[in-house]
Amino acid sequence: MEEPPRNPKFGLLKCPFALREEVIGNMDFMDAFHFSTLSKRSKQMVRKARYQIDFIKFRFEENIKNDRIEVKIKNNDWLKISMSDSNDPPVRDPTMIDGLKLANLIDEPSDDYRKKLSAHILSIFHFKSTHVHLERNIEHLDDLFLWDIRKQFDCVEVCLSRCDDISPEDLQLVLNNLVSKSYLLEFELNDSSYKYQKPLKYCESLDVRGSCQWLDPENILQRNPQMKDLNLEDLPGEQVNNLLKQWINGEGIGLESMGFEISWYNGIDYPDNVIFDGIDTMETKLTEEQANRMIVIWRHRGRTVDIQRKTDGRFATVHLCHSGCYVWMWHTKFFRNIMQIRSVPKIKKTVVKR
Amino acid sequence: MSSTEQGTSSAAPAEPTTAPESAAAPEVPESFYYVHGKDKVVHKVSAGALQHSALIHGMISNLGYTEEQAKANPFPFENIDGDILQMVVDWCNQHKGKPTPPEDTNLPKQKEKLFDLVLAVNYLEIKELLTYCCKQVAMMVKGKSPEEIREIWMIPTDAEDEAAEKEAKKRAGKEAAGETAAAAGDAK
Repeated sequence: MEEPPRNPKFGLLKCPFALREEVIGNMDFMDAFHFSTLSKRSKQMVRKARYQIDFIKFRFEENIKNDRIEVKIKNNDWLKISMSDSNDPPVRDPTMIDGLKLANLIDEPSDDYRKKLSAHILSIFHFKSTHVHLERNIEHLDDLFLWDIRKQFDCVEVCLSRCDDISPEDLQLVLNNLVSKSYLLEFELNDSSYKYQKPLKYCESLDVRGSCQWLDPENILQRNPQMKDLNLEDLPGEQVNNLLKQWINGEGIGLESMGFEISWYNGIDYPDNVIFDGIDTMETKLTEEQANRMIVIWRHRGRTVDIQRKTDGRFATVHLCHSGCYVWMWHTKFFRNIMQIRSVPKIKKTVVKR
Repeated sequence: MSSTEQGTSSAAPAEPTTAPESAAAPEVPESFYYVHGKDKVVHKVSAGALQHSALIHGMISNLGYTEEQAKANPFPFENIDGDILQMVVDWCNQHKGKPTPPEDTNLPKQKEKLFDLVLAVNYLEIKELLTYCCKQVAMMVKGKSPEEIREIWMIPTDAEDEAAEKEAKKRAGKEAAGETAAAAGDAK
């Protein structure tokens, strides 16, 4: 009888460290994961090899059975690891890799397989961007296993369904206890009288959709000088006007853009006299071509004007149309973008004294 | 192309090919160098092919050998098996003066030799070939189960690692005790 062909052997541990690093760097994600579960030494090797991955997202879905980790692996492929609740019966999505099975390969004690697996993955791989996405109101959100492992993210998304809402306590937990450069928030608050007034210390991009009644826009730019992009949906026109004035009066020094979109069903509109009340506007220096390029949702029927900040004379272009009000501050990125267009507006920087 | 010669004394380098008449400028004759591995078989390789090896390139650019000097002084790589050096030389010749493609079909396929090849390529600092070799090593475990990976790459378990560590400590302790005893004996 013929013996089955044996796997060729390769004494990886006898190789110099730099070689092992190179080999590990060339492995597929799942192979590197499997390798890391073999021993403490192999886990350490993967960690030290600094295996780079662009993106990981922890998704807590509307249906707990669909909870998963998404990883962007080589060749822009996506890998989905099921993180269905441990108490659930083992009915798992066959299109995903079973997280429970992966966790069982890790030789470490843990009462929650999701925590064990997430901690292992986050400790051995180096992710350029780590996101968390919440789509349901999680009971005891403060006890979520993920916060024990990591509280710092590149993006936190809370997008609850219409029938779900969130408590002020949970909102504070998301905005204060977690650290994120970017927030995408879309939910109803179960306390209509609550106003969030604290600063978002590290947030550079805030995108609030649906209801933003819970957010106090008064002095928001002063509270958040690090903010670069602010998008608030269905904000009343008077408050949009107030935010423009905050910027004109010198707040939001690093701000690059603001967007105030209107959803068609809320009956909000932005008349010129409300949005620009008490604001000096001037004809825009952008050509139509430049406006088309810079302002993605530029509408011919809309109105485009420039405004100028009182403190340093910096300009911003405001575009007002039926879908909302959009503001682009004239910063380095803005210039870089319009420089790509042949005709550049002649910009004369003027300092306006208060 | 390289010519392989048995021993340095019998080296008879082939004449470099002459430039075609139609060429606009006369080509500078290519210089050749000689290397040998553990088996002492000398390989004649052009300077162009050797440029792949940062180690050898660094050596030859500092030496300024004439053809005769180069022939008389082949670079010895006693730590590299002859057949492995042959593979490396062949690869360098095949890729002489060419940008290396992302996927190299000319890579030696013998998995048994891969370990020695990787070490040799690493020593000779042939960056592109090293990348290909490391990809090949990574491919050995593609889609394998953890236990298959353990077997292929000979990865010990934690218990085996701990036992080996204990053993190493014990051995080091014994050696240190032996040295102390020897030193005491010398002092007497």
